[in-house]
Amino acid sequence: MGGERSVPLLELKHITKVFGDLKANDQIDLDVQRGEIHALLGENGAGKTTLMNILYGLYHPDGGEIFLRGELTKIHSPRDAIRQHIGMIHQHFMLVPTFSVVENVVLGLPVEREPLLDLRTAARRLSELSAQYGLQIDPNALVGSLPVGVQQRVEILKALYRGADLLVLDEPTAVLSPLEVESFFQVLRQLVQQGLSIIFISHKLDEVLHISDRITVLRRGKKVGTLPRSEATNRKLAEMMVGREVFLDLQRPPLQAGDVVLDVQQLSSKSENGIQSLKVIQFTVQAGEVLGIAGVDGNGQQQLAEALAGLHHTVGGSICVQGVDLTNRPPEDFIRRGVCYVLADRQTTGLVLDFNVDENLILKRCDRQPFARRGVLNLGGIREYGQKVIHEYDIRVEDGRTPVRQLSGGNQQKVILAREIEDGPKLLILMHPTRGLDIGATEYVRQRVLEQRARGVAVLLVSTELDEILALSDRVAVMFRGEIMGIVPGNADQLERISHMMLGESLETMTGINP
Amino acid sequence: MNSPIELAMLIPLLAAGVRLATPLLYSALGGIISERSGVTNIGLEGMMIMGTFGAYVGSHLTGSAWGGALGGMLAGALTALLFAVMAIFFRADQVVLGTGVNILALGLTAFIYRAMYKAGISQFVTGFKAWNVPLLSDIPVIGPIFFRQIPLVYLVYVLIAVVAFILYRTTWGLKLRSVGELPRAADTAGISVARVRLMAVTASGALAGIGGAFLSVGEISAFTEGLVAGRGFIALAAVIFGRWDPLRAAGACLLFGTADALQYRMQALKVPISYEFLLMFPYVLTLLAFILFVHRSKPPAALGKPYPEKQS
Amino acid sequence: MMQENPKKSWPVKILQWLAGGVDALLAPLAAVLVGLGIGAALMQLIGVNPMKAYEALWMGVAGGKYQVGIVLVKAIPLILTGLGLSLAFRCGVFNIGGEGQIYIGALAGTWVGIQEWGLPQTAHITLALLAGFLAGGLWAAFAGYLRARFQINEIISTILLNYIAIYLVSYFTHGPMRDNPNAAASLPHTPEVALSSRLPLVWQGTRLHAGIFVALLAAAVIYFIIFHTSFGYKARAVGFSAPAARYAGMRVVWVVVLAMFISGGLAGIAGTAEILGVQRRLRDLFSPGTGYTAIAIALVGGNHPIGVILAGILFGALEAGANNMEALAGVPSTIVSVIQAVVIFLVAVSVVWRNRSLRRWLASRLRPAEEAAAHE
Repeated sequence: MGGERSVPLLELKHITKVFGDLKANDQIDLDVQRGEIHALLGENGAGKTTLMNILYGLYHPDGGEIFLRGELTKIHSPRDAIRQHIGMIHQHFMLVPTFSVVENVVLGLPVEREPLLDLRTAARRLSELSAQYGLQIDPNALVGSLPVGVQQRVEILKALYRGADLLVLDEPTAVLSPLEVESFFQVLRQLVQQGLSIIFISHKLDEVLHISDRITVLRRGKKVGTLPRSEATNRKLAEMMVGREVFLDLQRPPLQAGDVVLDVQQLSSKSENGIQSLKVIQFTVQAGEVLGIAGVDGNGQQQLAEALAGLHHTVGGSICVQGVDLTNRPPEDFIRRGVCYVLADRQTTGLVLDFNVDENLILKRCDRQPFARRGVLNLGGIREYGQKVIHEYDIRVEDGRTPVRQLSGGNQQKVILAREIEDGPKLLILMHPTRGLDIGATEYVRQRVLEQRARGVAVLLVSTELDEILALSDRVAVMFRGEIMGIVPGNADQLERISHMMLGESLETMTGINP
Repeated sequence: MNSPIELAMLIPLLAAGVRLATPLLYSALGGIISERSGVTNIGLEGMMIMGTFGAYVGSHLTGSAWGGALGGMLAGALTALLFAVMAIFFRADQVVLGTGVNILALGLTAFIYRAMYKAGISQFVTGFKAWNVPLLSDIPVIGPIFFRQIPLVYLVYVLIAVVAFILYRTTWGLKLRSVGELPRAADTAGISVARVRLMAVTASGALAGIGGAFLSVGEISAFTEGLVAGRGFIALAAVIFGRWDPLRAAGACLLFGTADALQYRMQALKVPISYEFLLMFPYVLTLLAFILFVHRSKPPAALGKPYPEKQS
Repeated sequence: MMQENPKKSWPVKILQWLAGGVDALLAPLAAVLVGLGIGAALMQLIGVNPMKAYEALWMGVAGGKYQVGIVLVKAIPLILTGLGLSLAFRCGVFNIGGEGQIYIGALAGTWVGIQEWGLPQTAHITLALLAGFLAGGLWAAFAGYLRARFQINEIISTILLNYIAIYLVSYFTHGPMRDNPNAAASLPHTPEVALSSRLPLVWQGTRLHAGIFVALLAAAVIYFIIFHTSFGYKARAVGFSAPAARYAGMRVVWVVVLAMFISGGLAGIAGTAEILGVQRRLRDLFSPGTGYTAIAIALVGGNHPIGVILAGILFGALEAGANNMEALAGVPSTIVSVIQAVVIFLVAVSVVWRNRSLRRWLASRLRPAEEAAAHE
């Protein structure tokens, strides 16, 4: 809990950071007491990560001062930060997958008999540390083979190994299931007991309310305020984050389901190292219904989405779209049958970043009328279509000829959505569609999903955000290690069941009922 | 197969194989170091060419074969330095730069050589002579194959071990590999990605330079144009074939070297295949080996990508 | 709420287009000047007066009608191969095998050219060029298939195929297709191609042959393919982002193979045209590294047909002038390779520079949220 009321461990005073025209951080004040868990809350683009990057020496502030343990200091680089006992665990781990845990921990540290690597001594010291803080790991395991939750522990140990007593965690629960989150929080409490202080960056209101001692909210580069946990509520925090009254519930009209559009029977596949990745997957999706697929990232969702796109080879079972067997057919067959995708990775698989908006909008129809005749492109027609779509879907861009690379994340997602929806899908598959988007863009995407549902499109929604799944889905299936653990109705009261399924309990064992 | 006559034919063949593999191996070791740090080095061919010429000049100036080897090493290293600055600091496309290096090397060496030739400088220089390692060269079979070679071959044996050791057992090697796999992890760990890559590429040029030196000062004790003839690319194939590991790459080089030796033998034996097809043989073999055995070996994850990609 | 863009009048559009072209030319021109400067330094090194040498260079390029004709003659294979390479590069394939594709194409084209089938000239030439196109195309498509289907590094496969092709040609010119098999003294070569297959001269008083029309036609065709066909669109999509192309249902393997086929085919035409128009018979090492130089040409030309034509003429001029420099000023003609390499380096570096400042400028005009997203 709150430490001594004397000198704060960390004080940031009037920190300002400017990128071109943009004030990413505008006169921000922050103080962190010893032994506290201090949450930094805000939407995407609010400036949280920028602020912490300044603390960690990755950026230099344009204005303001940093006081560490009461003394004015400058932090020139991560090495500097580490020397001053600050540790940072980034959202994307800085772990080399082909190295072992020890090798990752030891990377960049001076050793006794330079340049000889003494991994054994390091491993021993690492084991001691891990016992001290209750973070179990195997020093010689290959990091790439470790589950994400364990990788996170390695990152924490890396910081502890270097003597950190202030830890900054950037969206640490993004990769964890609800129960893993709980044990993660226990780890945090244990660390605090051992004398550490923690800054916790997040956009998840519930978690922040659960674990923090104090909460600072940022919005558009400015600090909105700092509250102790006792004074904070969900609604208040959301308002501080967004600046207006936010309705956190989306109204989902009653279900009007039609025929089965997608029928997946006993689908199985092998992954690259011979282990089965999809195990006997079975579900259906009807027209006008949204089936949500919940589960921690990396439990086979990617493979399932790829199989439904014709890009992942399956060895058993079948995929039928509107009664037509499309198992293991190439992507164009799926597309021709009315399957459309909005994928997780906008920038690699969703869009050709170096093409402009018009060109991206016709990505799937580049050799069909009216955009091409007998192989020759109809450039005028493409331009007209682009203008029409940009207007209809409110894509904020000057011209259809702007390279899509320059659009914001939200507008890029609009381009993808527009492209897929304009195709008139029978089945729409979405994977993490609101990842990295601000609240405005997120609302937009969710509204479009409900719109398609109302139009009778069958929707398959894969997401790690449970509130999103529950808000949009009529039914929820949970994936764990390539299997479907169970399918339940999409109501908030199913949350506990869903959490358990996300950790490997099957619905059967929970309820004794065959799903 | 163990009859003494066949063995007698096999031994000189393998000895020649070791000899022909050596320039490949120098360049392959260089290629491994460079690629493991994340820099694609297609300019190995050009660095070898510079090495051939640098060795010629070095030997000419110092009158000694080792002076030549040093000259070759320097020539390769300087060429690599030029390449490294453009690839790392200017972040230009590494393949294009490598191609430029190859064109530069061919043109520059021919240019200076022809001028030297016109000025009456002899084509011939002091070269290396074979030196039998005492005791080791008397071991049956292994002796004649591995230990009756010129000193540059013995040096490469040592280098294989040294490179492997550095790569896997030292902090330098750890830093190098981290830079090639996940540069931003190395960056946050306080490692200068640019510096590591610069040193790696320069080292690769130095090694390729010695490989080139082998061809002029080691084999023919002279200089002619066109000595390298694509060996830099075969070395690159050996790197990929050997999955960026020094020992495996050595095996691949030995394979290609033996194929080359075989092709010469067959010409000498007047085997009834046109000699052009025999000349083709090492390249065809490399291509086939590539096709058959190299599915999806994993290169260093950050290979070929400049760092940092965005600006901050 | 969106503002409508005011319609731009067409003079403005043409000016913008020209400005873009000039901007694109600036870097290569500057690079050439620097290259010439470095060349001058080298010449000083060997005791040659650079001014005299460059005078000889200039004479070799612009000294008269004949010289200009030679420049264009040298430019033809460079342009043709460069066009092919620009398509391959746009598709994301590093086709370093231009040289081998030229050789293989020349082999097939020469064979057709040698035959006395009694065909009219147009038919015979077309047939020979077609043979060259097919041979070069298949040679390249093979490497393209290996890369697209099996992820086999095309840089290595195309280079290995180069050496194989060169030796193959050597075999044929020394063996089955050899003219005068008993004259051991002379360099082996094939018989001359039939009169009916020779590319006619088109400019009196020079050696410029009809290949120039083939090259210009090819440039127009490639321009059309890249920017006005759905295949060109797909090739560019694959080149920019193969994963996105795959998810959009494009058959990436076939796109790559076809792009390589056309690429190698153009190189094959280049080789054939060189024989039918200039050398009239095939021999060892008839091509002085054209396939490699063409890489530089594609790069310097920005992978755009017009740029390739201009770059081809530039490098052709360098080569034509270099011969004159050697003859008159005693400068080894290989200095041209040095100049070419310098141009390659500088253009490669400037491309990054230009993208960077361009991107920064554009970024400063965008909404704040976008920068924030980039920096979060």
